[in-house]
Amino acid sequence: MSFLQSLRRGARFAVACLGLGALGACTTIGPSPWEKDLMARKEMQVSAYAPLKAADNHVYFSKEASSGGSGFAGGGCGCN
Amino acid sequence: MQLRKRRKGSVREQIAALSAGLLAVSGIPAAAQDNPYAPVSGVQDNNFGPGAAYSELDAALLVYQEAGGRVQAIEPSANLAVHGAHGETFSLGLIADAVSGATPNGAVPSDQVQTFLTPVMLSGGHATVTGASGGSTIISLPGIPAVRQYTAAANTLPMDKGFHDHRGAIDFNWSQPLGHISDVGFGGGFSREQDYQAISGNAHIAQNFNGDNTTLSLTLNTELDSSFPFGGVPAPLTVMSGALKSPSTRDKTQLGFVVGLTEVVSRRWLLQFNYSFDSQSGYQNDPYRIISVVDATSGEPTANLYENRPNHRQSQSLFLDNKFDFDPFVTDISLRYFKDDWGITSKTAELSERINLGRSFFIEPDVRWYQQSAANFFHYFLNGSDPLPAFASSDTRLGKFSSLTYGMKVGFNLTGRTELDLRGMYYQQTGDGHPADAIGQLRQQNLFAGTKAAFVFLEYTWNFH
Amino acid sequence: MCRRCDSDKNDELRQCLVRTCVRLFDTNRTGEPIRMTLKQATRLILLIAVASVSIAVNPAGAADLDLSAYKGKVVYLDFWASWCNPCRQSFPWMNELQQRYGANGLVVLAVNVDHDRADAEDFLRSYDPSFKVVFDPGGSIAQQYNLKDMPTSVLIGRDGKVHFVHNGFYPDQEMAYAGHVWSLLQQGRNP
Repeated sequence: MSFLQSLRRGARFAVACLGLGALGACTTIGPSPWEKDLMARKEMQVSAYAPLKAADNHVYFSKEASSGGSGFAGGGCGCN
Repeated sequence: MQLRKRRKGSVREQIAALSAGLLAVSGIPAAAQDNPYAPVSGVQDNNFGPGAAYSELDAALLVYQEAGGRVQAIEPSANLAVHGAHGETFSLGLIADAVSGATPNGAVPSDQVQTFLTPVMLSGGHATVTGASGGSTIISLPGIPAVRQYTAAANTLPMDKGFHDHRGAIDFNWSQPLGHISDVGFGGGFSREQDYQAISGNAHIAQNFNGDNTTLSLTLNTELDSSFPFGGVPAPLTVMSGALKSPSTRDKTQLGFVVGLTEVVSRRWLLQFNYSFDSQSGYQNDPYRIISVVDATSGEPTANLYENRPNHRQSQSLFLDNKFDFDPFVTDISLRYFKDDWGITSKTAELSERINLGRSFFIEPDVRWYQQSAANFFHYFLNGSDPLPAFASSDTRLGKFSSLTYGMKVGFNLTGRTELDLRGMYYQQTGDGHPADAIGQLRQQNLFAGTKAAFVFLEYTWNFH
Repeated sequence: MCRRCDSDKNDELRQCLVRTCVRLFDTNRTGEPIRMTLKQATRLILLIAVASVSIAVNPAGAADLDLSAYKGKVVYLDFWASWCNPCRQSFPWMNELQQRYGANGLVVLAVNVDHDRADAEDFLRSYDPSFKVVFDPGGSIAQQYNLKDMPTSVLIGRDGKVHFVHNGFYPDQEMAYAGHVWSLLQQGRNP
């Protein structure tokens, strides 16, 4: 389909989404469940390499004034 | 061999026959072979992840060494995480560390030799040996408690070389989904060393939305610290001495929370945003650290006073992390902004680039840049002709400096269920050692006591059922 | 992409082609053949070319799932991927399911959504299924069934309608899954 048509289609979809969003019937923001292959990898996990991050934080905390930083939850493949 | 109907003559059938043969040779008991729910024989079960019940053991070692004979530390740790099939996780961690070496005591360098006195740690009875103990001398005279004396050569940064400490810590965590809530959990920790103890607790709740692409989390954390330095807690801004002091212990309490948002923005982009708030009340001084009072004209140190920091500290930080996966490159960019009511603001930026070379090996160079401003009570020294301030500290940790860390990590996926990672880092702090307000002989001295250090980290991960 | 009917689905493309051809070469109500201009002819040729390429690039069974061959049977349509851990537990169980109920009219169809075929094939080498595997790297079949989770199993009855959808795979619910399959198998048989 032409660029204009796809633009129109996208706009219609977005408007429908905003409307349906209120009803919770909209599709999700972000990748679909079958598009989470890369998120399943260890290097993309928020909680991976925890001992290494803890050691880093320990060194920086004892030499610098700042603290605080990364969290632990979220991401991943969302399986099950 | 499993008796199953297969499409005649299929490649799959041949592979099955081959693997059954391998199985027979390997001596795996018949019961496992006949179980229809078991995967095909001869293949490792690499089922580690959501939906599987498995355990993960991490053994790690950190070796840290500062330049110039300063602090060195060895820190082995072990962590066991047990995962249930429905998202429950229990983890238990143990850490030990041994720290030794010289550490700046907070005094300024002088063109004269300086002598410092500090209480000695007695282990049952008086120390009667007079001799070097990590560069210090223990002086014991009849009728007077032993004191430790050490000196700093002219034009060198005064260091306490008799510094050594052992620490042991344990921590645990439990988390699980609960009803409609994606994750709830709590944890605690206990850490003890020769002159410090910390007891901590935390609780968290997290909720997934948007088809598991969005996660909101809230963590509450609290800590009770006790400081019981050798020779007792010195009265702030009093003259450094070897005398025994009281009280023997001072405490500090901490309360804070972290609000986090994790978002899978696209197939390749994971974003994390955290806001942290922290409030600390109580004793926050370093009981061994001193600050020099210098003569207003010559700049020669005339007295060494124990430092003093405010009793309250409130801080906030914003953290943003982005991970991008463009196979085989995985880029991680993170930024942090920190601000507290001691006048310290800091900025951190870190970039790492993981390059997967095949399935079993990767390298990951990274660089971290950090910059902080000084606390409003930070001084390199105190001018003898000025009135004594309420708070003063010369601890580099509270001063103005920037730092750079260069690192390289390499990882080996050994068998699909084990991984070995090795990381080398070089850390360097840079600051202005020649401040404009330096007096007399201090103008010839480098007042910055920042660190250069190299550290190596080794981690072995093992997944098993 | 078909300009005329705004679709990239192969079955609709085919129908669109047929309709176009019929319209062009059929007679109108008065019996006179409809004339085609050069513009229309070019459009038709382009349409056939695009449709053919689309069909060739996405052969039926990859971007399209034609279940008409299984009419009268119960279809256990499972969506899986090599990166999906619960799938490692579901495969041996689905093998068992196919073995046990194949004769009763159960067909297990496993749709793979891996981007990289090599990853899927590695997985298949380990788990060696006895059921049919369909490859959907573009995710269009997954889109068609509007998956909310990975893995997802869609249970289609003998009437060709979706009766159950299982989001995720939990070994402690295998009895319940098997119960659903059995209840669908019990519903009348078509000749």
